[in-house]
Amino acid sequence: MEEDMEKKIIKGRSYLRRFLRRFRRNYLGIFGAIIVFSLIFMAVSASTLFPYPKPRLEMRYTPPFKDWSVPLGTDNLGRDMLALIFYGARTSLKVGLGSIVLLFLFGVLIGSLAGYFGKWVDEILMRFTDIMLTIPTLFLIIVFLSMFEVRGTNVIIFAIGVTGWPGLARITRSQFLSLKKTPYVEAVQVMGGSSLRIMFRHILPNALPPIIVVLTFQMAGAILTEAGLSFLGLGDPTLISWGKIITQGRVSVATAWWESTFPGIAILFAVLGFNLLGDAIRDSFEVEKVG
Amino acid sequence: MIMALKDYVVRRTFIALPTLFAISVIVFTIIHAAPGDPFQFFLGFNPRVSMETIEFLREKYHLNDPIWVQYISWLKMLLSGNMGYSFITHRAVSDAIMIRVPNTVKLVLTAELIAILLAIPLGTISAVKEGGIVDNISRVISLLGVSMPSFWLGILLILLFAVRLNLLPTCGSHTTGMVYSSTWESIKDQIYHLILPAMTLGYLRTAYLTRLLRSSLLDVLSKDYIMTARMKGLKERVVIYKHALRNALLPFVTAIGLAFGFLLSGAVLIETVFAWPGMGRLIVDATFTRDYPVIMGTTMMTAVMVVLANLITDIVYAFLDPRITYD
Repeated sequence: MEEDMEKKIIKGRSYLRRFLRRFRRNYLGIFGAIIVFSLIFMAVSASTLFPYPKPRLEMRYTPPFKDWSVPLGTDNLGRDMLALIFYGARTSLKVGLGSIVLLFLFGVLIGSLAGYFGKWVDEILMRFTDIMLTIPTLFLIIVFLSMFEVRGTNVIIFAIGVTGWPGLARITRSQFLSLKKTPYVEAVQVMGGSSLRIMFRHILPNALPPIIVVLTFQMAGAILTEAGLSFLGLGDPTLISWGKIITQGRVSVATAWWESTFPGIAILFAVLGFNLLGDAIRDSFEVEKVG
Repeated sequence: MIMALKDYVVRRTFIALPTLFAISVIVFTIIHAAPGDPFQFFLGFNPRVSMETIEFLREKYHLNDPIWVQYISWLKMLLSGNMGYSFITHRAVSDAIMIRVPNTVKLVLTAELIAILLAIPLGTISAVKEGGIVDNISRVISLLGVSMPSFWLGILLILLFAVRLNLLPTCGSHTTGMVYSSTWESIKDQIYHLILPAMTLGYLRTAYLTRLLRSSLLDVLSKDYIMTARMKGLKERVVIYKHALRNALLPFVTAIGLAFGFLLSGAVLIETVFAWPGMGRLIVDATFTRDYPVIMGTTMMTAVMVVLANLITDIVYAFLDPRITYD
């Protein structure tokens, strides 16, 4: 009974408003969104709030909460931990955003071609997807990285993007498979719309909700992967990265626990933020379980 | 049944071969498409090494041949049971891998076992008492587990259990240079070394598997046959353990098997934190030195392990679900 009432009320509102209405009620999702906005704030304001953290050896290993000019203490080179965390947010978001753009391009292109054209196109593309899934992702990324002598941020984004698309491709494919049989798509086909137009003007917008959900989770995944690669020493050597600070702090963990603890908490929150946001978006879109 | 199973395994193995072949082509191409080579990379900056020496080495390891010629000679070698020799250590790649594989398998299987043992009770209680204390605690455990960088958790555990409490060793797979008085001593030492890395990896898997079992059990509990079972007047215990849990375990088993690759990826980081001598360390080190044969061999070995895990999953699945036949 209540369900019916709700349906009646919601009926007639736009999809977006219905989405926002549901989202507002999801407290964990709002918490996730707050984390994500803080991350964006940290990334954007890093260079305004803090000068680039320069080594100050006379300050090295200052414990946190002692000297309020460096509230979170300093690392082994005397750099302000708080500033490092802010600059690290920049690297994480950059890698995350870059990766999901690439993932979107590869995943949606391959998934939509396979789902829309079916037959041998589907057969070949899905076979290829299965093959990619057989090699553990991190191994595949490492193989890609071994191609490059200098592993800059762009190389890392490329490696994550070019290896991570199979999951997204599968979901896009299944969306296209079911949507291409709907009356509205058939109508456009009858009217003589080109395949390209049908795929990207008519089907894709309707297939977007689950794709957005997956991309939000992939953002979390990309941040974790970047941290892991930096930890392994395969990250961009010129940038400040949370993973790299953890590695650096690992040797002195017994005496200076804060050096590897704070960046870890930063990663934890960043990833948690995107995961919670992804959960909430999924629930608010009324998307079936994905990701 | 046994014959059908044997046929099925043989057939599946033959289907897996083209996949492995394709993987070898892709990985080989990626590695060798890179500009430069290990010798230029390593020795190019050394003024004492002449261009002639580098050229000699390139020629010696056939790096000047067209890529498909190199691939065919690699494949021929592989089919005769030789994975080539490391450019750096000159040891046979197969030897290096065979020393590492058991360590990785030991780590990964222990972690998975811990995860399964924790996830089944946690997931079951969470689903049966949805919204209860256990459900909420396991939700927090899971959210943290899927969001936490594994290597960071490893470092924190080392700090707590090895440095502060001094209960467990910090790294390695056994005490170096130790002479054991008995086999039991040796096993005990290895178990001590295994606890922390397996716990770290196991926690991350628990987080995932608990959520999975919870949602699949919730799904099953809403089915009509559960209501029928309850209406028959069966005890709630029987309904949950005999009717619901058994069916909910099917997707669980699939997830365990199919996520084997995911586990291997996770192991790379854990092995680095705990200096665990496994496959992950091998490939990371090989990447720094661009040791082509080692990178190639390790990647192929992980792919074979994933294919095997998938095969075993299918077989277990068929045992659990009588509707599936081997045809």
